[in-house]
Amino acid sequence: MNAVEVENLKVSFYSHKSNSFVHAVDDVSFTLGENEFLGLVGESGCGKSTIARMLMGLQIPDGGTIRIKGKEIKPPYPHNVYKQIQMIYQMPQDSFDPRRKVGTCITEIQSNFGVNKREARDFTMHLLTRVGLTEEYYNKYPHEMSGGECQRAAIARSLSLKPDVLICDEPTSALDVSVQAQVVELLAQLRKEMKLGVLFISHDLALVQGLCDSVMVMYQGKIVERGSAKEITQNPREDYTRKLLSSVLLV
Amino acid sequence: MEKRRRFDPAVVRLLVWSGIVLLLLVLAWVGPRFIHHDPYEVNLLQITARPSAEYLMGTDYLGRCTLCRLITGAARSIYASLAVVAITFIIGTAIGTVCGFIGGAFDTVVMRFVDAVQAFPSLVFTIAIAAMLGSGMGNCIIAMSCINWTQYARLSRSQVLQVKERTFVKAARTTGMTNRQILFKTILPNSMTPLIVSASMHVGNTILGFSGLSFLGLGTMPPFPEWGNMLNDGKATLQTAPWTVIFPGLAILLVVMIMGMFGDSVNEALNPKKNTN
Repeated sequence: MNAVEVENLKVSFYSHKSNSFVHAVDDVSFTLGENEFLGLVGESGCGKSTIARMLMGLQIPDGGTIRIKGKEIKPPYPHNVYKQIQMIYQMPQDSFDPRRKVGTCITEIQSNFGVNKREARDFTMHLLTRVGLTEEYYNKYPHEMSGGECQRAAIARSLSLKPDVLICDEPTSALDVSVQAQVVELLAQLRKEMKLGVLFISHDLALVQGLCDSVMVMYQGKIVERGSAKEITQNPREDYTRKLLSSVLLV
Repeated sequence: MEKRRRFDPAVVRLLVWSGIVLLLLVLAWVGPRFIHHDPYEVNLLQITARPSAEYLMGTDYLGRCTLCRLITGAARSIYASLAVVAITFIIGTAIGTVCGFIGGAFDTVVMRFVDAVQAFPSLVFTIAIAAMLGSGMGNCIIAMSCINWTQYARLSRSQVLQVKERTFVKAARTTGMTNRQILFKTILPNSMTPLIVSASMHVGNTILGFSGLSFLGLGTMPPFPEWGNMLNDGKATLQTAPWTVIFPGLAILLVVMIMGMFGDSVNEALNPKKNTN
């Protein structure tokens, strides 16, 4: 069974600039396997993050269906859907409440889903060490941590409910290159350990090709091409994919 | 080595300023028991007497002791202004927060009502309500509260609208929090800073606002002292006996400063980012 099945998903926004509706996501269908690492690449404004928001129930689609583990879900999502699907955000420090300790936030999610507080705290400590932080980080505020540390804590938070699906919305774009590599490596390890279906959204084609099993290329709200990472990078079928590949910076 | 327990400096500051505010309230309450002159006694031989050993802050245009009147009027001025600020802060913040959070038709209707209330000149509106209710401090408190809540409603709504779009609030939705939890645990604490600052500044304005109502015969009636009223009375003798204005003015300034520092310490204790340096 696929972890996520999306069919004919669409949403449009009214643009005051052009005085018309812009199809941000236009009839998009795809599946994400149970242990698949699926990349979603495309230029800014092509609708990648809108797909992520719709999958998380933060944006109501105009049409289409979303199924998680075969079960159709419609926003506003019931409480327990978030036990199956979690997300890592682009700006790690802004994804934590600035007035609350990181450990409290991670523990609270588990308590919200009925885990006893003591167990939740112990599991939070375990997760923090697993993502490469120490137990001391439990009592730190987001502003006391670096971007990379905060993103690790965000990963720990998203894994605290042991979800089946993890959406990573450009999780490395706000980090410097050395930290990016550490975070990506961590995600790759965790995916193997936890049997996660991961939708990895990124601008960085080079990063996606090294990390993902398969890649979808998105352009102007549509998925224009999908294939294995190797196929996409070595034999792109679409002109847009070729253009995207040729724009990768080589140092 | 044994670790010495460190107190959070922000919490210590909050405790110190809470203590000072409490002391102020207690002094205002018990102060009148320790005065040496009758604050209502007119002494025509001592009209606008300079500050001296007998009259530490001089006397007013009727020869009444300024210090005794300041102490006697403290409770009336401080408690009444704190009551107005507390009532308007709670009502205004609650309404503004709910409007910002729920949005839609409810928000539109309530905010147009707020616009309508704010469209009236506030002093005229307050006088109209106070005149309708009759004179007395209680009615003045109600009259001033009827107008002043709107500024907190507007401010808190704008804060909530801003905060609810931030990533951590969206993230909170995906962590199983109910709407109530999101509102009380996430949005409200992050919207409080400008509201607390505004409330602490508001105390002084309210004391002066009461003097306006008293001047029109709607607030404290003579001969009972009230700080705003004392300032008003002192205006006539400002050039010949400035102490009649300086000391009530300093008393208001002191209360505003204490409330301002208290507001800052509350804000600091709530905001972990501020107390790291």
